[in-house]
Amino acid sequence: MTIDLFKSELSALLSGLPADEREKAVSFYTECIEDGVESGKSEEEAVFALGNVRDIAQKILAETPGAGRYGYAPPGAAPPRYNNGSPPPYTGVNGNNAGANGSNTYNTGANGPAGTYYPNSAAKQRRSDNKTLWIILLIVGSPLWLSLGIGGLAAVFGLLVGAGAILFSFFAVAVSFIISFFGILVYSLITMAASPASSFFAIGIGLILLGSGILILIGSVSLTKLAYQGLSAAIKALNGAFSNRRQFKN
Amino acid sequence: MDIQIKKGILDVLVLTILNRGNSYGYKIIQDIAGIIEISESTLYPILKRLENGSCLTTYSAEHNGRLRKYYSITELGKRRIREFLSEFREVMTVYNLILKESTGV
Repeated sequence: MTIDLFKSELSALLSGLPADEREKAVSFYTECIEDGVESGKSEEEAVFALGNVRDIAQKILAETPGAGRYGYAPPGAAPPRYNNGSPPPYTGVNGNNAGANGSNTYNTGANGPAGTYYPNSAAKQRRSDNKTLWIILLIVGSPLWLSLGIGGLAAVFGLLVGAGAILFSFFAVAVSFIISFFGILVYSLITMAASPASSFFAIGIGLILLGSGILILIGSVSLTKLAYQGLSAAIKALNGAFSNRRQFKN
Repeated sequence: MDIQIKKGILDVLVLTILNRGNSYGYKIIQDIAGIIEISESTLYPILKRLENGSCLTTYSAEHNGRLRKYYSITELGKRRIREFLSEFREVMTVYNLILKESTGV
């Protein structure tokens, strides 16, 4: 391979990088070839010594944070461009690049100012592909997740209504106990003259009912408070989870 | 060698080579090749990383009718070497322990 061919192939493979980054990389390797030639190698040998062009490009892309999952677009980042007369970019690069990015965690930490890096279009492309895939999955899977979602909501709703009904029944029991005490009291006072013994017995029963009614009432009030607190905490947690996710997305 | 360890060591090795004096890509590889195997595609990201981290600066100078890019170590780069030395003292202590334990001496 000649120097010129090497240059055009490498810059085509790096088309995802901004022009200055690409220019820097290409001139570095070109200089190495020229120095190799100067030290006695033939042009062919010097180019060959660098190894596979695709491997070189892949390594450069892998070492560029932002080319991977940190794909962000700084304002004014140059769009990918192809030089006139250069061969079309190899489609294989994207795939290779994806694989190489897995080992990219070290660089991002060790590198200096993050602002000097640029994403490559391959990564962005991959992300939008992912998004499309998700939308398709969402639509195709709608019979499943819709029914599951509705079922889940219905179950939660049912549980809430059931819990409310139990609380209500406690209140009803308490109130009815208290009311029945007054009923028994009135009845006993009326029949007091006729049969004092059974009247006093009835009043005693009524007092027991009153006492347990009050106890149940106190118990259900605190139970209601507890349920209310639990519910509001759950809603708060849910809310927090959602807003966190939203922040994360941005 | 483990890739992470190698990366860290190679960064400092390149700085050490530059600490001898300003140099250029091909020459750096020649100098390092005698110590550890390194290719152009390994060196390039290292130089880029070091430049972005302000451990070295670059300038171009004419050579045989073309421009050659020279790399020059900065104060930060020199500090990086010193940091490496003090950090690796600990690593060497661990290394010696592991060596001792595994050879059973």
